Amino acid sequence: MIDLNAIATLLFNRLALDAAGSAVRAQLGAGANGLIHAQDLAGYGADRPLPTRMLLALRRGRVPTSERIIRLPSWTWWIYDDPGQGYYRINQLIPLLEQAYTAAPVQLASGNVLGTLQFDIGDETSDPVLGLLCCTFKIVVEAV
Amino acid sequence: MSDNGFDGILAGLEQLGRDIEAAAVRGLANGAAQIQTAARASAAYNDDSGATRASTVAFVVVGGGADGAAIDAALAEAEQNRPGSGQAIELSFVDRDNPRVVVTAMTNYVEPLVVKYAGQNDFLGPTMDSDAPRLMDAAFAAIGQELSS
Repeated sequence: MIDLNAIATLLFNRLALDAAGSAVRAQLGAGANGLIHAQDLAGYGADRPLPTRMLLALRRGRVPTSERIIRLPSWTWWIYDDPGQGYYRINQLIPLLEQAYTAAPVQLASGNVLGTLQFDIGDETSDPVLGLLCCTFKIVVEAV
Repeated sequence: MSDNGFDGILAGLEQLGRDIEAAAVRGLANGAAQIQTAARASAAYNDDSGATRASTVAFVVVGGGADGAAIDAALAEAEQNRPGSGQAIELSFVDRDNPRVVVTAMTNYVEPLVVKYAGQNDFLGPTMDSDAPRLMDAAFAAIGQELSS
């Protein structure tokens, strides 16, 4: 059985807690506090400023509905940085993200290891509401 | 030169290729309709005015051309729900050599909308994640029908 919550926790904690994610944390303005869940983004504002950039926000994608293919759950890290930085730091972070997820197996509490992870990098874009540059790093879990 | 020799076989194969491609395009159009339905059912829309949901459209582009009626109808939906929001899509960026399916909404704020708050209102990407296989299924089905007819 696919436990999406367990996988999401694993993917988040790989960057937040694991040694394999330390290089990513070192690049974030607030370290592990710069890792947030995407649904919390709207709660930030004047009274509650966003963590110092760069920061990362994780959002779960949808699972393919076709019965002809294996289900491929996905999660996307949205990488944010200040406009004055351009995309330089964002682009430097992307290989560190890939290394974080490939340096060591991502293992469920059950002992099962997540299968092949595929990565997809999105376009350089910006969020006009947050006023930040962003780019996506999508993780597709090919088998669980 | 005789029609029933090698030239005839070659012409038949070329016609078969055209028929298969035409069937694939018909299938993709069926798949695009399913994608459009799935996208419009998304819970991600802001539904402030309804313009984005109502103008969400999926269509096939072949050789740089598309179903103008579908595009015009989507544009009209955008304008009806939020006057001044309609924006025609630029098709020049679409691959002219191969059939493609475009899924979008005909509003002038769709791009920032799908990016805002890490895709909070993104009705396109998640729909493609979940429903894009329908395009291949529909194309295969149409090709299968063509070959068995």
